[in-house]
Amino acid sequence: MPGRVAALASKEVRELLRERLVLVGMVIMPALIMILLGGLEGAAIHKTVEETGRPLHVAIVFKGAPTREDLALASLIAKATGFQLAGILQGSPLQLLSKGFDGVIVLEPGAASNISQGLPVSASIYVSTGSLGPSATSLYRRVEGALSRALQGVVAARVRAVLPHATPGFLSNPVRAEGVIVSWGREIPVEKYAGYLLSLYAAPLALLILITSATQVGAISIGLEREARTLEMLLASPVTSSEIVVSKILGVSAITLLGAASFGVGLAVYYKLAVRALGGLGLSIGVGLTAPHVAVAAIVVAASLYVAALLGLVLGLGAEDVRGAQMVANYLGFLLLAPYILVFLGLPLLPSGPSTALLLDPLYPPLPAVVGVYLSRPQLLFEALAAEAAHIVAWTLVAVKLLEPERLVAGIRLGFLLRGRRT
Amino acid sequence: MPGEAVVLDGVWKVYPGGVTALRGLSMRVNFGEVVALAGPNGAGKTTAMRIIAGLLTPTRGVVSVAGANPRAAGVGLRRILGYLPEDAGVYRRMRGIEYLRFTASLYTGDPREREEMIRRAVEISGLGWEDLNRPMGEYSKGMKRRILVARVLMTNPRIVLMDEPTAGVDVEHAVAIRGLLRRWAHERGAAVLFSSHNLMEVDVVADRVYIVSGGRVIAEGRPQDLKEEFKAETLEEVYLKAIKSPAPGGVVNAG
Ligand SMILES: Nc1ncnc2c1ncn2[C@@H]1O[C@H](COP(=O)(O)OP(=O)(O)O)[C@@H](O)[C@H]1O
Ligand SMILES: [Mg+2]
Repeated sequence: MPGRVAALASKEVRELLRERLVLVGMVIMPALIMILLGGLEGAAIHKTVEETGRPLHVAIVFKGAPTREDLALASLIAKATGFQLAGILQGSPLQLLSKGFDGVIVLEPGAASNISQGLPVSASIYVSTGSLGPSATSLYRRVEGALSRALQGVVAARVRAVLPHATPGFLSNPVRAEGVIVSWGREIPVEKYAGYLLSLYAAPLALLILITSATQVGAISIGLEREARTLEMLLASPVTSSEIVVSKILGVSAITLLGAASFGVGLAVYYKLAVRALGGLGLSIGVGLTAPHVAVAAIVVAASLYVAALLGLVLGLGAEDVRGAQMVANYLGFLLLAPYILVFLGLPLLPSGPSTALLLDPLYPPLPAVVGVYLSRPQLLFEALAAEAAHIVAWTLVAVKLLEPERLVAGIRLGFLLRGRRT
Repeated sequence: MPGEAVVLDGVWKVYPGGVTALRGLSMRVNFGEVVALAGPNGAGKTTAMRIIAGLLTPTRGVVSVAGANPRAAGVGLRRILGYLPEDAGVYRRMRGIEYLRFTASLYTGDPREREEMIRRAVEISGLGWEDLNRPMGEYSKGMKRRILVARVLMTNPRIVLMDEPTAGVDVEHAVAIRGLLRRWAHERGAAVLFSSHNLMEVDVVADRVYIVSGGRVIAEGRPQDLKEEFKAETLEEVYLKAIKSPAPGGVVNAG
């Protein structure tokens, strides 16, 4: 009966929001953490942008054999910027970055003759970031700025005499640079960096926060009932076990959505504080999203929240009180969320064997789903979807089975293991 | 509404751990009477209550509540049944009045019926408006028990099961609860079964009593008849005598 489910679910939401643990941990914390992070990143960016003390360690290389004029130009740039002229590029610029350079400027041969014809110099600028944060873009801006100023100097001193009719645009911006930010060995175009951060850093982080809170709130929801000894009376009233499970999931989901909204607010502030500090650079989300793929990923994420809440309920049923339930939910949650470390290590995909085995982990599928969207690999998405569907069926059956009065009243006695405090 | 509300016939219960809580318990409760399940701790009273409430399945034997098997009957039977578990608690942060509203909404979708239930509960609980607006976690043990009793009776159940309803309640309110049990049976015609380890209370309240020990009935009948049968002054004496010389077949049937 929908009326009973509504009554149970709204009681659930009210009771959960009254728990300080839930209100602070699930609703307030996500926003707070992101805002704090944004403030820190923003401060770090301002510091990097204004920083003058540490000289940048940047290599200037040519993509092919330079002319004599090119070499002369490059040594002028090196002199003006303090960058290091490193000859002809061998292999990938990433190899230079891994040798400890902050950045690499790759010049096309013929740069000098471009200038004498009034054409901009093409350059690719690679910068490397040690951390997954927006500060990489500020590093890029410093390198590009230095290069641009050096060339302006060259233009002013030398070229103006040769090219009296050069356009003001060319004079003020003689570089056409292509920026690449190297993050964990991955090359991201500068203008797509924010999108990259969103999908491969913020998205899993958001998932992590949402899924842990769903598990925790699920555990707390049943733990409260166990601790207050209200379950026996509830089971003897005209509600079914499935109604109790469904309404608890609804209540927990509502709290999780509040958490998601809080995280969203936090994220918006984070980007305002951190990314916008860079003057709007790189805000396009350039990761080839297609609507159907995003929809499937959203379904997987929603499904995984349901499963996470269920898992919390099941764990909560084994515990005697709230703290016990929460403790177990935490331990198991962290264990099951361990694969998320892969993303932060820059290894979103394992070989197919282990990554298929990981689908047995009920909290893992949203990760390949997000990665599947990012890399436009529908097969990953649908694997994740199938796995989450199987988890939903299995864990719903387990939860309804465990909520059988017979089991609760007479059956499983895990309490002695899972008790948070002795009573 | 005369007739049999609860029938237990040769009911055994062995818990998963191997404890045998009931050994062939047989009893019945009719509409319109107050029946007590009396006996020492561990006698099996709570187990019997839970079986009647449909929370446990008997290992052996027949159980019928309002003509149905309570484990299979589902929501319909639970709607006319009011059960107060022995160690029932309250939602700590919920206000008393909120709890009554919540309970009412589990039983009916009709706002007028809900109001009626809440009004009845407030009256039964005897709690003032101020207390009803406090979180129940702040209630004393006796206040908790009173609001729980009110929660059970507010739905006007035809079958009332109360496991140790007066445990931990002060004298004044224990008297009130005893009065409610009798009123519910005699004025409203409900079948009332309550358990107690206090045989003096049983003597005052119950129309009939089953004295249980070790999971079986060792004596049954009207308190007066039992006292005559055993030539005893009190039910406590009856219990002590019954436990020493159980009648053949294990049951002394008085009256
Ligand atoms: N959930 C349970 N699991 C195992 N044994 C139990 C359980 N509940 C009660 N018992 C045992 O069953 C017997 C009867 O208990 P109970 O019905 O609670 O008696 P009473 O209510 O008369 O005190 C006792 O020996 C008790 O230890
Ligand atoms: Mg008992």
